Amino acid sequence: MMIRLFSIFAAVSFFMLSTAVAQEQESEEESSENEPEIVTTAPAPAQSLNPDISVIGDFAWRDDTMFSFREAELGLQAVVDPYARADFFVAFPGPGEGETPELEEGYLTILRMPYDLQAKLGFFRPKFGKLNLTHPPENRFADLEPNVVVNFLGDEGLADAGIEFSALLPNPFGLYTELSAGLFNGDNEASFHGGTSMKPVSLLHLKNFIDLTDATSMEFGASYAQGVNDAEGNLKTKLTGLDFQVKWRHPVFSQYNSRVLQGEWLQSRRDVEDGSKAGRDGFFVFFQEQIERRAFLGLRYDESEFPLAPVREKAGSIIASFYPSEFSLYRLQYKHTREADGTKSNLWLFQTTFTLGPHRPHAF
Amino acid sequence: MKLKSKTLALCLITLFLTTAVFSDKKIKVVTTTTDLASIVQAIGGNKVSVESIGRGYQNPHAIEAKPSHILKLQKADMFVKVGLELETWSRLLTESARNPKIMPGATGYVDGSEGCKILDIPQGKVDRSMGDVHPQGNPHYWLDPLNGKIIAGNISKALSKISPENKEHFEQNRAKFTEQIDSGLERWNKQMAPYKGTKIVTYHRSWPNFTSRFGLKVVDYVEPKPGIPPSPGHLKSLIEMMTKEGVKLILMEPFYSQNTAKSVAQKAGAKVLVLPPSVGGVKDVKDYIGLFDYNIGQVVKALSD
Repeated sequence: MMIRLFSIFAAVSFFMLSTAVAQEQESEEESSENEPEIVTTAPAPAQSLNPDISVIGDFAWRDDTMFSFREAELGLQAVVDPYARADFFVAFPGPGEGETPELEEGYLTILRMPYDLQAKLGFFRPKFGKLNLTHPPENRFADLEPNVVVNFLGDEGLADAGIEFSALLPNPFGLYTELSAGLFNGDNEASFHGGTSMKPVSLLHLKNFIDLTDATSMEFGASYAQGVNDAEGNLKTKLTGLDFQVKWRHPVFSQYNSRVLQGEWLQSRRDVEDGSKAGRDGFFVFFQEQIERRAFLGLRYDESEFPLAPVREKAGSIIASFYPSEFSLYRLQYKHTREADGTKSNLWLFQTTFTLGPHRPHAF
Repeated sequence: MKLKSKTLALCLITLFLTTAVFSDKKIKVVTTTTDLASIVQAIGGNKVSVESIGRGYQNPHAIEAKPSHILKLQKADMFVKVGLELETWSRLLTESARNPKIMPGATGYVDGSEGCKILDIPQGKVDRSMGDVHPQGNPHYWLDPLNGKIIAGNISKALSKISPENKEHFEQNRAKFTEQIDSGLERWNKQMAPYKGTKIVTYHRSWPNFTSRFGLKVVDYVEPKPGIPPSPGHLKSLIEMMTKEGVKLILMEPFYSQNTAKSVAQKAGAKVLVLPPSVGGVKDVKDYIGLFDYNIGQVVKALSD
């Protein structure tokens, strides 16, 4: 009897709650209908309806290949309507770097959906690990990507046509926790071959972020991707990843002193044609200290197998970066590699990137 | 008996939760700077709960948009920004917050700069050879108390749209805030009167509204262009000019390194005055009016010594 009474009481209470929420939404719509639009003091110039246009040039020198203009990346970014925004990035490869301009990303982000979801549709870099979201020229390395990313996700990382949903998960700890789930074609030179098999790659990513102090923050995440690696769609590949980043910025002099420690581990388990299964992994760890307003010093360690080869390469890099302004940089990297067969090599790389126009800041 | 007590407790908890919805809930406001937060608090009073993403001692240009900020914005009823491209990082946050109430054009989205007197609007072709230039004008407009009144008006208007039943409360607070600024201006102008026309140098181009309002004349900058560190050649010219013109004060914010400014001041026979451009920039500055009380006091002390 008491349980029944409680049930009726709870039902009435929740009915009243939902009515209050509905009334709140109605009054917001009414007030927005009755009130005039916000008037600015000056008319907005017509060109403000154009997208933000930016170009990033990436020029490099390596002591094993000499000079190369790796790419010019054209960015076109704007709000589409009150509900969505669109971003396009087209890479124009330099001579000898590729033949035709390539769409690096072109996607729509739907900002307002039921249940606080957001969605991305198009051709884009999905949330897999942390580094995959950034275009290689904007990474902190002159060789663009750590060995494990190149070996398991390809030279440019993972980018594919598909759809991705993301939701912020409520939790009692006040932690930023975002769950992303996506479906993609599965065309990736290193790990997947979903295109002709019509079997998409499914991805999951969990991102957690916490402010340890005002000055220090930590992010850690987990990723999972599953797809096929043959044209017939019979052989599976499963990728698992863990990532972390700890960032410290001086609470007052943040322009002058900061540190970042970042790393990712990736594991691939794939079916092989001969019926066997190949389990391989790799990781990198990177540390960077800002030693002066415009100068940064970094160290990176790479250790990685290859998707189908049970051999492991190791490399260590020292990276020095100088930013005359936030729109240009000069970077020198020395990389010592011990190949899987034991041979050692040394590589010097120099990189400069330069940006025209407003380039939207990347997600933290 | 035990079951009855548990059920009663559950009913009471449910009643409490339901009541919480119907009780006066505060308007949650998130601002980009502490100055805006202070003005929101002055206008909103006990009808708002407000927090700022930036801290008063931080450079608002250089705040890093973090996921934890998104959580604050997700629950906000109102978002107030300085605008004029001071916070290019803020769009990343509002677009990720999944909160239609605070998107541009929504009732809860407030650009504090609307209607304010904006200085240093570049004329002609604008490009990055001018340094970290703001094409729409200098965004440090809150450092003119008269703009503070306009910001308060923008905030009051938005709060009244969100909570029309409290419109009178907001307007009364706005009137009180306006009076405080007017009486503050009277005493600040009086304090600064003896120093009207005094030539000073500032580190960054953050102070045109403040210096223009209170009669100081900025004759040069330690940064040759906004955001560009000074070269030895520029510093040499600066020292020579300061010596020749009798410039005795370099004004700068707490988040810039003082080494260069101190070196210039020493060679030019001047002094460096570090002033907070925002509420909370030093411990003693607790609100918007207090920011001017403190800064004017410090300037007067520095110029009279």
